Amino acid sequence: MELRACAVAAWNFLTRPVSPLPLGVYRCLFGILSVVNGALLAPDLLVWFGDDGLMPAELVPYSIGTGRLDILAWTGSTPTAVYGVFAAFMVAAILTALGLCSRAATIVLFLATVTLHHRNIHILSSGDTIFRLMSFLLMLAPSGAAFSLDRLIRVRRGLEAADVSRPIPPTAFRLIQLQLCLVYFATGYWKASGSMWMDGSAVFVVHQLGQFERFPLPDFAHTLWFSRIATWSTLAVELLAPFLVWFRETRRAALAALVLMHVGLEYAMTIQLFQPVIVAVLVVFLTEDELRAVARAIASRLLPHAAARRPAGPPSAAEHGADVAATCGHDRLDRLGRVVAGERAGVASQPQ
Amino acid sequence: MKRLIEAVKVGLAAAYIVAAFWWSMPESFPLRPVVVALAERPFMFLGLWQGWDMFAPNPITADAFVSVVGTLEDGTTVEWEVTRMDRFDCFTRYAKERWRRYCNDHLRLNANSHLWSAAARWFAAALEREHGQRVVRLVLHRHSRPASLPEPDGSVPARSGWERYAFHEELLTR
Repeated sequence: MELRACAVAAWNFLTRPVSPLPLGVYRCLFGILSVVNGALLAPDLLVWFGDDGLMPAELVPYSIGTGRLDILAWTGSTPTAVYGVFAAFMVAAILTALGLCSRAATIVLFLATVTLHHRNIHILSSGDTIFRLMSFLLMLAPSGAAFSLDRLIRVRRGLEAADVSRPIPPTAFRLIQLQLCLVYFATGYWKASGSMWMDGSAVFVVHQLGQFERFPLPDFAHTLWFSRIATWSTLAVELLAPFLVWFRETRRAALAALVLMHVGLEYAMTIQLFQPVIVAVLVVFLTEDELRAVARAIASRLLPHAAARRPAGPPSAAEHGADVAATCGHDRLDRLGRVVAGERAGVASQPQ
Repeated sequence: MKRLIEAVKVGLAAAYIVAAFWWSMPESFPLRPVVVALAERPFMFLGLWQGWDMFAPNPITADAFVSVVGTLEDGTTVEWEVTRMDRFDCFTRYAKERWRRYCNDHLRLNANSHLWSAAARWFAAALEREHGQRVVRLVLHRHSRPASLPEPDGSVPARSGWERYAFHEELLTR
């Protein structure tokens, strides 16, 4: 009976429609970060991907083997082809950020991303792996259903109501959530077998490595007691947060701990876009109410006059509408216990 | 029909998560070889391969960088510390992160010796552009400096200096 209940809960988790807003916001952030990623890559494009660069095409099979999705392997790594793939990447990234032709844009973004990654794996970091995997999952998701020009166009054409966005099938959205949890759990699991992570000296050692240094650290950051606190708390956050984000009572604390950890790493270490790109994924664990609250807070900061003209208090039922009521895919998982990923909310409820 | 499509989608989603989970685990994890063997072709083709062993099981315990020494046509030698990241300002370090990744994490390793000749020729061309002379010989060097591990009493020994080792020599002829 328990097994059947688990199966039903898992089925509901992967099939009950959810709010499109968290995914839409994530798509936008992902597009913006992809543009930044492309801009960082642009100065050395032919160095990394051209045949006259550091990685001529004939070396690729020695690095990653054959049978990989790589458009440049079919076209040849001529400057025209490399610039063409890069241009497609940048255009797709911009369209993804805007949510214009979202499905096509995310497909092209995935193809261009995986092509560049398979062309030269020696310049990739974990942040790039996140880019590649998330572009694949975004491609499968209806990411233009909210927070997009696509939706605006549909509303203008009368194909959708302006005040209600339709709930979306959740499968790819759930995969994004699960993939993120897997990233944290796997890295925590790997670290848990390392002697330096267990004795608390790992952060101490990393802080001595000048090649990763970002901004100067205070003296106490080079002490063993600080290292122990930072090492063990990193380990605890990475091993626990992937589970705690699913429980209503602990979700916010887990997300806050993850953000805090990444802010610390971003200050201390140079790993290019790893921290921003993984923090952006955390958006998919926010509820629609929380995202609207954040938007209102930002608007009141940036446009105080406009915000003052709007009525205070929670958004109206018309603003939320049926989509919020239909976002509760998570609550089916309550059969397993108290699993919630955030969107449990009737129109009247607010985040706790 | 709709139910069937949903079932297929759920099945594929479950397969993806199972494969990604086992793929991300250490070699010794139970059943990993079986699951990875099943998932390898689609995962490698689509770029779904992944590894999350950042700074694990232990962080690297030595700083590193790569330098190139070129001998110009007139016999003078010039050195370029390509990825001496600790000498860059923080903006340059950020912009040059892929160079660090390529040189410090990959190029210097014997496992990537297939990269050395192409790299030497590219660095030689870069030196030629900078110095306006042909480079006739180019040597790739790796430098490393171990981090100091704390003693049991919490004290930290002084760090040693950089060690330098030539790992590839390329004689360049027209």
